[in-house]
Amino acid sequence: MTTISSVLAEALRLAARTGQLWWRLWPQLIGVLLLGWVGYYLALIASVELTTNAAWVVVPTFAAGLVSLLASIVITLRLVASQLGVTALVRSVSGPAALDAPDDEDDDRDASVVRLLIITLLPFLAVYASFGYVDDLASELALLSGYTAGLGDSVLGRLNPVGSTRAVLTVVAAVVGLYLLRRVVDACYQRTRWRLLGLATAFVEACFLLLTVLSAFRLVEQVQLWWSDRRLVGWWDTLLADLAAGFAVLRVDLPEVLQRIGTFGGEVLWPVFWERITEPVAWLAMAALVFGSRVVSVADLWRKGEPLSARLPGARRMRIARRLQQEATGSTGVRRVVLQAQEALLGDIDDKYLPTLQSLRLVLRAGAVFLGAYVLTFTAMRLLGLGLEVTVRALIGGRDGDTWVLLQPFLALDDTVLTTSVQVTLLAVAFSRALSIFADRAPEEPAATASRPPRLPVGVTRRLRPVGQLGVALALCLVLAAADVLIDRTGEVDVARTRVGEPGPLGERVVTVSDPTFGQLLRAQGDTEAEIGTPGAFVVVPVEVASPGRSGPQVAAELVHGERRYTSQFSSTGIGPDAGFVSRGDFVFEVDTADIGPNLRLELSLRELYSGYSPLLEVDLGLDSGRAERVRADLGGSIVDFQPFPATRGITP
Amino acid sequence: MSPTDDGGQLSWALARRPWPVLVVALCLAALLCAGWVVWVSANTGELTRPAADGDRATVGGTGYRLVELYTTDRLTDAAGGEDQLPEPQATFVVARLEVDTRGTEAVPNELDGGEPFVYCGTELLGADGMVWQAEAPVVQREVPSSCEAGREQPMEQVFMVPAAQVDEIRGVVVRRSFGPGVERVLAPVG
Repeated sequence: MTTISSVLAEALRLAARTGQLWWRLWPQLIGVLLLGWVGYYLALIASVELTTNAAWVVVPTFAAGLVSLLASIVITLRLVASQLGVTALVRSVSGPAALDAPDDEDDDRDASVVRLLIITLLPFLAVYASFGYVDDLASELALLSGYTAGLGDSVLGRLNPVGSTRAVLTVVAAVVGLYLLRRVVDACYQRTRWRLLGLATAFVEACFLLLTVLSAFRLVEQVQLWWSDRRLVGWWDTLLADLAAGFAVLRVDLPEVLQRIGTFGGEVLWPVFWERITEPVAWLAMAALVFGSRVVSVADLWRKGEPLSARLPGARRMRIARRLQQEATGSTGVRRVVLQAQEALLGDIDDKYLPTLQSLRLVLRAGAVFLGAYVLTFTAMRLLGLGLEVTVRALIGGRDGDTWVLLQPFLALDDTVLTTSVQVTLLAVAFSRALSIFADRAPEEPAATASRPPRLPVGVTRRLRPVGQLGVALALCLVLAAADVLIDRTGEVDVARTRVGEPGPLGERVVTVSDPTFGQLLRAQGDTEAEIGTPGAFVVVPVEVASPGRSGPQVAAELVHGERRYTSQFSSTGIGPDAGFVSRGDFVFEVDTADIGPNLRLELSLRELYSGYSPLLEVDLGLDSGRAERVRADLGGSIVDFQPFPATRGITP
Repeated sequence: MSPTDDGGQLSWALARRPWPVLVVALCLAALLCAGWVVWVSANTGELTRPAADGDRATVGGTGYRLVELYTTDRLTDAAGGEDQLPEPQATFVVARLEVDTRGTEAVPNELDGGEPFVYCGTELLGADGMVWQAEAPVVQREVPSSCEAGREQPMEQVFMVPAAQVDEIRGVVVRRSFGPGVERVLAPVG
C-alpha cells in the first residue's frame, strides 16, 4: 500500500467512524453545545448593556460567557470519549504497573462535571487563546458594542487606558493583579480542595486574557510607537533604504519584493501552517487532557523502559520546580521567598502548557500516516463547515450591516454548535485510534496480554519509511489546507451584474448607470471654463440611485480595469437619497488612457461602518474595442462636464 | 452498565437521557433568540413605542412633547429673505416641540468656552420603516432647531418628505442622545 493510499484509507475510516458515532450521539452533543452557545450570547448581551455604565464589569461578565463555551466543548468531549470506551481502554491495558505509576494529581474527573472542568479548563483556555479564538470573541464584543452605543462609547473606547495616567496605572494594576490573583486562588484551591476555587482559577485566567485583548494591548501599542520614534529604528530604516538602492541597480525593487513575500507568508503560508496543520494536532492534544491524565502514564509503560516524563520538553524544568518546592519548604527568610516566587512562575507553565505538551508528545508518536489522515479529515470537516456557511450566506443574499447584526447568533450556530459537535466526535475517534496504534506497537507484556481489551475495528498500518510518510502526509494536508485558507479569503460580497441603462439592485436601493463621457479637461456644470486638466483621461459616469423603501448607507463607486481600481474624485464620493427619494449625480474618475477599453467596469457598493455579506453591483460600461479607440483618439484637449452635487427629487408612484 | 464502567456519572446520565438535554437546550435557545431579536431591534431603531397623544415622552432624561405637526411647501425666512423651497415632488413637514433638558446629562464641551451641550435630535417616521432625518434650514427660523442644556424651551424640526409619503406619516421619533434604548414615537394630537 502506498503512503497516499494508506493516508486516504485511514482518513476514510476516521470519517466513517466519526459519522456513525455522531449520528448516535447528536441529541446530547447538540444539546450541550447549545447550552454553551446560550451562555455565551447571554454574556455578550449583558456585556454590551454594561459598557455604557460599568465598563470594567464587562471583563468578568464576558469571561463567564467564554468559560461557558469552553465548558460545553469539554463536556461533549468527555461524553464522546466515554461512548468509545477510551477510559476503559486505558484502564484495562494499564495493568498493575500503571496503578503504581506516579500520578500528579487525583484523577477523579469521572466523578463530577466540576472536577472535570477544574482539571481541563485552564490548559484548554491557553491553547484556545493561542489560536486567536479569544481575539475573535473579543472582536465580536467590540463590534457589537460599537454598533449599539457608537464608536466613542464602545467597549474599546471605554476601556482605553491611554487617555490618562490614572487609567494607565489602573490597567497595569488590573493586569498584574489578575495574574497574581490566579496563582493565589490556585494555591487556595490546592490547600482546601474547594471546587468553586478550582473553577475560579479558569475564570480569573479568562478575565486576564480578555483584559489584555480589550485594554492592555493599547499599552503595548504605545510602547511600539515610542520604539518606532527611536533613533535606532531610524538607522535601521536608513540601512534598509541603502540596501534597496543597491538592489535597484539590478532592477529589483527590494521593498516591493519583501512586501510581497511578507504578504504571501502572512496571509497564506502562515495560516496554512499554524491554523490548518498545527491547530488540529493541538486540538487532539487538548482532547487527551479531557480523556484522562492517566493516558500519559500508560504511554510511558507502552514505551518500555523509557519514562515519558524524562524526555518531555520542560520536564527538566518541571523537576527543577519540584526540587525548588521541596527546598522552599525547608528554607527560611529571603531564600524561601525567592524559591516560592520561582515556583509560582514555573507553576504557570506546569498548569497551562506542560499537560498539553505531554499530550502532544503522545499524539505525535502515533505516526505520520495517522497524523496525516487525521489532519486531512479535520480539514475536510472544516471545509464542509465553511461550505455550509457560504451556502447559507448566498441563500440570504447581500444585506446591509443591520441585517447581519440581527442574524449573528443564528449564523454562529453552524460553527459553534454543528461543526463543533462533529469536531469533538472526530477528536474522540482519532484519539482512540491513536491509542490503538500505540498498543499495536508496544512490546507484549504478560499482564497486558492477560487482560487485552477489545480492539477498535480498524486495520493496522504497515511500517513504512517515516520520512517519506511524513513528506507525503504533509503534502496532502498542505493542499487541502491551502484550499481551506483560500476559500476562507473569498470576498464577503454578493455580486449582481447589470449594464448601462438597466436598473440593478443594491441592497434595498435601485441603481441605474448612464453612458460615461470622457475628456482631458474637467468642467463643473454652470462654469464657463475648465479648471482641472490631466495627462490621462477623466471619466464621468452619471448614476441615479433610488430609495423606494427605506434609506440606508451611501452608495460609493469604483472604476475597475483588471487589477487597477480608481476611486471617485472631484465630485460626490457617495450618493445616498433618503427614503422615497431618487438622487442623480456624477462619479468622476481620473484614469490611465490605456485602461479605457472593453474590460472597464463600474463597481457600486454600500459605504457602511459595519458590514457583513454585502451587496455589490457590477456595471458593464459597454465600451467595445472600436468605441474605446474612438474615445482615446478624441481625448486630446477635450472638455467634459460634470455635476458637482447630486440632484434629488421625490419618487412619484 | 454502571457509571464507573461507562466512564463517568455525567457521561452516563447524558448517554441514558439524550432527549431531555436537547429539549431543555432548544427551549433556552428559542428564548435567547426571541430576546436577541427584541434587544437588537431596540438598539437599531426598529422597535418603537408610541406615546399617548399630546403626552410628554422622556428618553435619556430629556422630555419631549409634540405641540404641532404640519406640512408646508415653503419655509419662510424670519429675516425677510427668500423662502426655501423643497426638492421637486417633495414637501416640508415641520414639527414644533416643547423640550425639557433640565434632567438631561450634558456632555462636557472642550470648545466654545467649555459650555456643556446636549443633543436633541429627532426623526420623522413613515410607513414600512421609512425614516427621515431632520434638516438644518437654509433660512432663518423663528424657533431654533437645536436645544440647550438645563432648561425648558421650544424647538422646531424640519423634515423634507416625498409628496407621495405625506399621508403615511406616523409621528416624530425621539431617542436617547447617546447609547442604545427604545425609541418613542410622538404622534400629533387628534
